[in-house]
Amino acid sequence: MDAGVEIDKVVKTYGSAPAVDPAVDHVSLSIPTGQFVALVGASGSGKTTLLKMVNRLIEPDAGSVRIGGEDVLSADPPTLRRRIGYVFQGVGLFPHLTVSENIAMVPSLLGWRKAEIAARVAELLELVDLPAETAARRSGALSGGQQQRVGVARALAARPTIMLMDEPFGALDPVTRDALGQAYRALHDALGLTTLMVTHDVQEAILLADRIVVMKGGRVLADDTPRALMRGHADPDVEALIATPRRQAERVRALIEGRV
Amino acid sequence: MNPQIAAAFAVLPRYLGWHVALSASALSLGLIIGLPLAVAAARAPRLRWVSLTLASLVQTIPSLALLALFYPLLLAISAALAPLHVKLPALGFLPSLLALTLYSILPILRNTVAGLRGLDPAVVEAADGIGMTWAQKLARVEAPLAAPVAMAGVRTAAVWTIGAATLSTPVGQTSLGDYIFSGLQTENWVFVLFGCAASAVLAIAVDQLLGVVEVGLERRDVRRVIIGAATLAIGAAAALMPLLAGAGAKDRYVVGAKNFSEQFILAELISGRLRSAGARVETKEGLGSAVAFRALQSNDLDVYVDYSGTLWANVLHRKDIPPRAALLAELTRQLKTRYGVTVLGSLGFENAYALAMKADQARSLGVKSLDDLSGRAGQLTLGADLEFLSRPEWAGLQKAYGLQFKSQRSFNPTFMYRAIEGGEADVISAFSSDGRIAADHLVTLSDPKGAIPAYDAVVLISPKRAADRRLISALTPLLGAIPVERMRDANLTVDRDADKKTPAEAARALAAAIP
Repeated sequence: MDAGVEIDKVVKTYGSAPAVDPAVDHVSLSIPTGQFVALVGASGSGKTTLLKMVNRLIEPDAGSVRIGGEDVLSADPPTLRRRIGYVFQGVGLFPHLTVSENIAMVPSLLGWRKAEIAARVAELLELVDLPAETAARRSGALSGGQQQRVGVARALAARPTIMLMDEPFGALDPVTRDALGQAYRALHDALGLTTLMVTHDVQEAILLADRIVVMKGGRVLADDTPRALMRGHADPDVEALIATPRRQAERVRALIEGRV
Repeated sequence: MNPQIAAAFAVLPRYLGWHVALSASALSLGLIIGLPLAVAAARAPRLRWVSLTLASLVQTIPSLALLALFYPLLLAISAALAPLHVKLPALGFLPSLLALTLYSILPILRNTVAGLRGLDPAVVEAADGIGMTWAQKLARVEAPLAAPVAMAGVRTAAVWTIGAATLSTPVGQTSLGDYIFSGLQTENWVFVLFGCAASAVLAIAVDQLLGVVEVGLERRDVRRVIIGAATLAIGAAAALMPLLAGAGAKDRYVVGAKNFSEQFILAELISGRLRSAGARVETKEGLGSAVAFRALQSNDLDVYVDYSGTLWANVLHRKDIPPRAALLAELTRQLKTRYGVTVLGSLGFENAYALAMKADQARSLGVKSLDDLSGRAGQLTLGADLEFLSRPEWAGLQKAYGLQFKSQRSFNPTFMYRAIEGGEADVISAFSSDGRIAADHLVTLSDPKGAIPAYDAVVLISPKRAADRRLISALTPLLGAIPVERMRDANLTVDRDADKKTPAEAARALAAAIP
């Protein structure tokens, strides 16, 4: 599955179709291997639904999602999900298990040998910059930032090539959030991952992603690089979304250069 | 030690063994049904509503009634399955087990559903998101996280089951309730308290050990879980040992007794004779009147003593009242041909229903017979035992003498005598062999119109044992050997307040007078 994600005209409607507008309405995206894509938009824009259709937590009513050319609907969902990392705002660490047991979960589901799992857990703790002594702790004893580091480590444990992230750092304070974002981007590059990240924070998207997809009402409004979007966009909604970070950035630059 | 307490301890191993066997089986069955049902119900709102509503409904049925209802239900099922040659025992372990199992389901179901539904949705999403199958999610995430809440339900179920198991005595299952029911009948409060205390101690011990398991599950402390579970298992095994020691003997005679002192004494008397003949004996005490005959007829009992008039009216549904000897002869013939039940013979005394009054009140009102009573009944209160008012004998009496009392109250037989003593009843439905009639200065009213049939105490033998020589030769010497005075004396030694004897002691005294 060393290949990108092909999303082809997917539709998803909650409730009965004519009465309700689709949550995702004929969206197509082609994500090549190694790309970091941010899905941005307001609540209800359909970005989370789109993300969850990639690992079949939600199934499309129409259209298809292919990973490495294989339709995800033809795969066994648990098997599919074990090959795709999934990180979300709620983190969802298993509170009855230790940090290392949490990280070891997918390898153990896949039947890895004990020694192999132990080595992988140690490697991942280092990778996400957690001290080794946290391994034996339960998740309740960790800070929010540490918990999400464990969440990322758990998602990466079985060496997936694709990572799905749903507001992964949304519940964290700004400093932790920035640190974790930067750390994850470094991992993305180092491990050659393909990442699809949902966020409502345009600034985060601009700073981390290679490509930004703006959604509204289940449709794609814009799909471009951060650099291109910063130069301006014809759609007024997209322009409004970009305006704030652009103005903030200009203000900061002016401050740094001593012009104000 | 107090002889009453010594007598209570003597039967403790058997009572406790059965109580543990019954409660443990019911709780296990409750878990086997309740846990999977809870897992399914946690996911399906409609199933959840239906199962929780039904389980709650079961709880609203008084537990004694629930146990009692399984008797006719199992009889009906047996009748329906008769073509397949399947016969379910309608008395004893099976109905008790089924009723207690139903009783135990609600707390298990409700708590397990609450535990599963109370899980952090993020944890469930994570389990799905990382690729757990349905079974893996249940085993690795949902079950361990819901276990402490579910375990609290199991504790509740255990305490309820152990408590309610005392009520299995009236459907013929030996339990710690035997102390309570027989104690209540014979006013042996030591037995009643002993039974309550024994079941309370058992319930508390089980609850505390399950509590250790619960804390272990909560703290992920495997050691505690193992200690709690192992102690429970060892305790249960130890309690069951006396039963296993007695098991395996096929030629065991089951002697029945209804729910009053005379019956307890006669059951002990019969058991004693069978034991002397080298037989193994088990008793089922405190049975309802109708239950006892049906149990004998279906071979759940082998032998018990009943009364000719009772059988005449309640089993044969006869309204005519022939003379004593003719009634007995006709009854013997009919029970044999219709039910295959053998009437071995009369013990030699009658225990008739007789309306009784305080001697001084009867004298001052000038009441000697039921005829005299009919004019006075409107000013008087009738105290009856629990079944009298619904029996055909009462209908016959009312019809013959036009008895209309000011009010009618039902009592447990023991409390009926208390009631007339305390003035809460003026007339009671006494038994003519009851020693308390003389002891409490009561007089029985004569029945000039012959509205009440004769009540010869007769030994009944089940169809299965009809040709059992050992049984018949052991019991034949009892026939005609117990005059009513001797029975009254025996009854009084058990019923009186001072220098009380146990039914077994009274039976030994009675046996000593029989050749």
